[in-house]
Amino acid sequence: MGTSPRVPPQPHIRSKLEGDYLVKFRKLDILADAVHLGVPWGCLVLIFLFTFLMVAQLAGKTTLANVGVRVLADIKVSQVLAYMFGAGGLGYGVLERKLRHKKVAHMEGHIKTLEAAFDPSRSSSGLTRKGTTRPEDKI
Amino acid sequence: MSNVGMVLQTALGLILLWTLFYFGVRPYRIDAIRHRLFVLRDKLFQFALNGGIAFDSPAYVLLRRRINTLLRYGHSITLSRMLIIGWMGVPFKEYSAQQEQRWEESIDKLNATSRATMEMFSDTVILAVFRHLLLGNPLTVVICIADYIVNGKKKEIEPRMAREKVALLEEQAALAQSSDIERELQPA
Repeated sequence: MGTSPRVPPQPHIRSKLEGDYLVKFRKLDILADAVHLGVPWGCLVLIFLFTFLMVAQLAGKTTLANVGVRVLADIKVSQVLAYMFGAGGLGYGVLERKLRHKKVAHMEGHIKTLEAAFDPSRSSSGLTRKGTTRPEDKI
Repeated sequence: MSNVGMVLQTALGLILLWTLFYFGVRPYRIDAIRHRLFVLRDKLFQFALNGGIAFDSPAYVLLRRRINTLLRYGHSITLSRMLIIGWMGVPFKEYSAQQEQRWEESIDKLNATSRATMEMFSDTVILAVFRHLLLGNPLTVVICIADYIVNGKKKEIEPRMAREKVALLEEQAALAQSSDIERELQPA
């Protein structure tokens, strides 16, 4: 893993098949990216939309401030504890993840050096030092 | 609790679940498949280090490059992408066949032991990625569980399943590799 300074290769088309393939690939790639991003973000938009419509319907002539006060008044201590538990778990997960990435970044150099000693022309995954997706590859 | 309160709390719960899935589960799954592929790449390196195959052997270079491509584009390996390629990506089959031919030619030059081991590594990579694809979608997970309950772990269906997995994965691998080729084609 890890990025190594790579000299960009000279542009060349290896075969007609690959040339044709790349053009069609771009179209499918755009479509696949749209689906990949559209489904989750679409779900989020739907959650907000349905919530807005239901609250608007239920609240009737009550002002938004009144709705807010009523909701806050309804919240129980047990619910607050449940939310805190959830948020705490999420935070713990995020911190563990950051620590793992730091560990990967720390070990990456050693592995690279050791492997290169036996295989000087070893190829790399091209990921970042932390083992994450390169910014330019992100969808 | 008032009706409005219930709606808002339900919405908050759904948003939190969405956050957990999008910013927690999704990145975790990508890291998990990459971890499995790194382990396989390390095992391949160990195999070569122990004299199983030369580091400059075309089979070793091809398989390592394939693993590297899957590592780099691990975030693109999704069921939706694979289905889109399966339905619309006719030319990819030809491309996959070309890649498969290169691979077959490279392992033909090896002795029987090395060939068997390299094929095992290749199949393990494919199965790891296929497992990642299946377990990434709640619907396919339910189908897999139902299949397991109905059919159990019957030995006779495994070869057929493996072949289907290989065929589907060829499309996915071709897609991932193409991005690499595309960058190589861009002017420096």
